[in-house]
Amino acid sequence: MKRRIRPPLFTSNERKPMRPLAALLVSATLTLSAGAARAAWPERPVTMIVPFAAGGPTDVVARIVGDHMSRTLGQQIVIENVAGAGGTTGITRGAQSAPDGYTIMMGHMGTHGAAPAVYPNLKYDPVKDFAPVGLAAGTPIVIVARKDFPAKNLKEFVAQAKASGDKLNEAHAGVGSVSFTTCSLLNSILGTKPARVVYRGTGPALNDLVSGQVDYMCDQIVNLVPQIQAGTIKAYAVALPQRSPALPDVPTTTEAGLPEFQVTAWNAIFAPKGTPKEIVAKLSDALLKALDDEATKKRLLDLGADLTDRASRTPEGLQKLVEREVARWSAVLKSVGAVAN
Amino acid sequence: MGDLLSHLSLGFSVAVTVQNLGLALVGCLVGTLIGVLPGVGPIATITMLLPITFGMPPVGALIMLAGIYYGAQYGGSTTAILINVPGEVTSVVTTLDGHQMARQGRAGVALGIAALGSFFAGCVATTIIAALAVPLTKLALVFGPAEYAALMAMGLAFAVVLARGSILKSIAMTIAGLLLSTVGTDLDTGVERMTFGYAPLSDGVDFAVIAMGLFGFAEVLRNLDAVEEREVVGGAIGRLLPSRADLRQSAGPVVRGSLAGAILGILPGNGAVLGPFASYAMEKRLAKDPSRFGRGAIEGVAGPEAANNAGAQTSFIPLLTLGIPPNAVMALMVGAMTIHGIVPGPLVMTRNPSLFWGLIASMWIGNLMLLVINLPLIGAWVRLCRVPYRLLFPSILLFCCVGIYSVNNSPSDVLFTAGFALVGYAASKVGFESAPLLLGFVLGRLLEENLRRALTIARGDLSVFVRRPICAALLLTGLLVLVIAVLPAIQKSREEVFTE
Amino acid sequence: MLPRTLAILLGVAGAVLVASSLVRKGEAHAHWTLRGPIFICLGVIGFALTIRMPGLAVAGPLVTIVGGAASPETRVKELLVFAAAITAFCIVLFRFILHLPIPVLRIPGVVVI
Repeated sequence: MKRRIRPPLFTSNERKPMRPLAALLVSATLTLSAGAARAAWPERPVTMIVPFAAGGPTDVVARIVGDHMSRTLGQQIVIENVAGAGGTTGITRGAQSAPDGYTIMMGHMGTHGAAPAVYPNLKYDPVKDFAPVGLAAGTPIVIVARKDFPAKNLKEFVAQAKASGDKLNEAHAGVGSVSFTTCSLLNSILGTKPARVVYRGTGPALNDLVSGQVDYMCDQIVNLVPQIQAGTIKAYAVALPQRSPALPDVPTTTEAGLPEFQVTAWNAIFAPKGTPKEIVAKLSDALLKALDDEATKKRLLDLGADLTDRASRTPEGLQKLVEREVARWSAVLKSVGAVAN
Repeated sequence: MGDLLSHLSLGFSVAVTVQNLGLALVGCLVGTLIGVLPGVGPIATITMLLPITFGMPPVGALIMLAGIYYGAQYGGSTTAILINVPGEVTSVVTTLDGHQMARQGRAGVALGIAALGSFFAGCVATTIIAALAVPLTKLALVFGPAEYAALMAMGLAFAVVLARGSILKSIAMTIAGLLLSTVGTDLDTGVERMTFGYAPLSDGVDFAVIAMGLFGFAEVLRNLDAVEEREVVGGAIGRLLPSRADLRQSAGPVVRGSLAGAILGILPGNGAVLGPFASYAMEKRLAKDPSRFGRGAIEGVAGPEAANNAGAQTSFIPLLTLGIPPNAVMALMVGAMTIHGIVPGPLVMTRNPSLFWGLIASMWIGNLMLLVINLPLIGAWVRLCRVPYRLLFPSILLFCCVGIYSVNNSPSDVLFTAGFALVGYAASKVGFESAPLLLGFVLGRLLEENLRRALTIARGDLSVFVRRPICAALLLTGLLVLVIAVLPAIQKSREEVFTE
Repeated sequence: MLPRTLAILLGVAGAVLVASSLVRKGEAHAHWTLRGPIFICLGVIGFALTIRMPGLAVAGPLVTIVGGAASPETRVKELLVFAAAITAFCIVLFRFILHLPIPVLRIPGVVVI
C-alpha cells in the first residue's frame, strides 16, 4: 500500500560526498520500480469513480461487478461516488487523473453518450479522452404511466400522445439524466411536445408518478420493477429485443408497435487516456470473468439488467459503442431542442 | 390490534439476536460519532461502510445502517449545543437556545433534555410506523408539488418567528439565504446561475459549508473577541442532568415536537427538515414568556430535538412502504437493499415481513441504546469544554476543516467556509442572526423547484395554489404565522413613535 | 429571474435598514478586533491549499498553529505539541476508523498515504 523510499544519506553534512551516488541509486530504483509497478499492477486498491450518488442503478452495477473484479485482481476496487452535473463532474475528475491504472471510472449512456450534446462546455471528449475497458451491464428502459392513465396499452398511449401531446406531463430526473435522454428519443419518435417536469432524481419523479401528479416517464427498469409489480404504476413496453425476465408480462416495444424505440442505459468501465495497454488488458480480463461468473450474473439479472450485448464488452467494442451513441444522441437531443446553455 | 402485536413479536424476535443487537450497537456508536463530528454526515459514512455490509444478512446490514442514520441525529445536537455548530440541517434550531444554555453553564441540562426528548420522540415515531405506516403513506401521496411549495412558503414564515431581535433583519437574512440557494445549475434547463463560471459552484453551495462558516467559525471569532465573558462557559458546570422542574417544562414541547416531526418526516422530499423549525415556532407561540426564547429557554431545545428525531425515524416510512426514498440517506438504503437482493417497494411489507418488522423493532432498541450511550457521555462532553479555550478552538477549527473537506473532497469548500465565517462574524457584530439565513437556504431550493414544478403542471396557472385545498390551507397558516409575528413589532414601533 | 428578484428585495431591505439606522437611536458598536479574523482565515486558507498535496499531516498542524495564533492567550510550545497530537488523532479517526479518503501524506514520487 505505501511505497516508501528510505530517506537516504542527504540529511547530514558529513555524507555529502555520497550524494551523487545515492542519487544515482535512487533514480535507478525508481525507474526499475516503475516498470516493475506496471507488471505488478495492482499493488494497492484501485479507485473506481462512480459519478452518481451511492445506491443508484449505476452505483449498484459498479459495486456488483467491482466486487468480483476485486477477487480476480487481488486488490480491492474501492468505489468513490463523485456526483454532480449529470455525472460529468465525476467523469471529468476521472479523465484528468493519472493514467497509472489506479483510477478507473464507471461511465454510462449519459456521461459518454448524451453529455456532449447536453453540456457544451464539457471538459472531456467521450470518444478521445478515455481508454475503454468494457461494457458492464445495461439497464433496459421501460415506458411507464400513472395508474389511471386512460390508455390500456402502448398503441393507445401512442395515439393519445399524438393527439394531445402537449397536454401531457412527462417526468424526468434532470437535463442529462437517463430518463430525460430516453424520453427525448420517445418524444421525437412520437412527435409530441409534452410539458417536461423536472425532479431532483428518480425518487421524487417516481413519487409524483405514483401519486398521479404527472402522466408518464421513461426510466431504468431497476427503479420501476417494484412499483410495476405492486400495481402502483402501469408499464406499457420495455425497449428490448426480447422480454425482460424481471417483467415477463410487459411487451417489448417491437411487439407493442413502436419498434423505433430501442434504447438501453448502458454502463461501462473506462480508464483515463494513456493508461498502459497491459493494465487495460488486465482490467478487461477481470471484467469479462466477472460477467461470466454465475453468481454475479444472477445478481445483475435480478436487478433486471441486460447482459445481451457481448460485443461491447471488449475495449474495441466499447469504443465503437461510444462513437455510435455520441452520434445518435446529439442528433436526437438537437431535434428535441434540448441542448443546455 | 392482535395483528400488530404478532407483527411486533416477529420483529423483536428478529431484532433481539446477538448479531443484530451487536450491529445495532455498532451503528448507533458510529452514528453518534459522526453526528458529533462537524461536516461528516451519515451519507459519507454509510457509503463508506456499504462494502462491509456485503457479507452480512440483509436485515443486519439495514439495522446497522439505520442505526448510523438516527444515531447521527443524536450526535448532531451535541455540537449544536456545545460549540454552536449544527451537525445536520435539523440541528440548526437547537443551536439557538441550546448553545445559550451552554453559555449559562447549563450544557449538561441541554444535552440531557435533548437525549431524553429524542428518546421519547423515537418511541412515539416507531409506534406510529408500526401502527400507521400504510395510512400515512396515503397521506404522503396526496402531497403534490403545489402543496410542497406551500409548505415551504409556510416554513419561510417560521423564519421570521425565529428572530430574536429585529424582524426586518431576520427577513433580510432569509432573503439572503434564498439568494444563496439559487447558486448552481438549474435543474430544468441546465443553465448555470450565479456560479460565475467557477466549476466547484456548479452544484451549488453545500449546506455544511454555510453551517460551519456562519455558525462554527463565526462563533469562534466571536468568542475570541469577548475574552472576559468567555469564562462563563468553562466555569460553573452546574447540574449535569435536567431537574424535575426542567422535565416538567419540557414535557409539553417534547410531545408536540414528536408529533410535528413525525408527521412532517413522512412527506417525501425531505419534509423532515421543517420539523424542528415548526416545533420551535410553535413553542415560542405557546410559551407564556416568548422573550425567553433565544436566551436559553429549555423548550427551545426539547421541542425541536424531539421533532428532529421523530422525523428521522418516520422518514423510513416512504422507503419501507412505497420503496421511494424521501431523502439522500434513504436513497442509500435503497441501494443497500438492492445490493442485498431485496428490491424495496410496496410489496416488501408483505413479502419480507421479517425485514420490515425487524427493522422497526430494532429502531426502538436503537433509540434505547442511544439514550444509554449518550447520557453518560454528557459528563465527558461538559468536562471537555473546560479545556482552555486557546487549545479548544484550534481543535474546533481542525475538525471543522477536515469535516468540510470530507463532504466533497473539495478544498474550495474549505475556502468558502472561511468566507462565510467572515460574513457571519461581521453580520453578527451589527445584529444580524444566522439561523434565518440557513433556513432560507434550505427551503429556497425546495421552494423554487416545487413552485416551478407546480406551475409547469398547471401550465402557468397561478390559481392552482388556491384551488387545491391543502395548499390553500398551508398558505393561509403561513400568512397567519407571519402576521402574528410581525404585528407586535409594528405595534411596538408605532408606540415608540408616539412616545417620542 | 428569481435570483434577480431576490437580490432586489435584499437590496431594498438593506436600504431600509440603513435608513432607519440613521434616523433612530441604537446601541453603540460592539468591540472589533482584527487579530482573530486574520489568523483564523490565514489558517483555514492554508489548510485548503495544503490538504490535497502535502496532505493532512501538513495541513493539520498548519491550521492548528496559525489559527491558534489568533488568540492573545496562546503559548507557543504548548500549541506546537498540541498541534502534533491533535493532527495524529484526526488522522487515526478520519482515515483509519471512518475510512474517509482524506490524503494523509502525499509527496509526489515518494510517499502516497
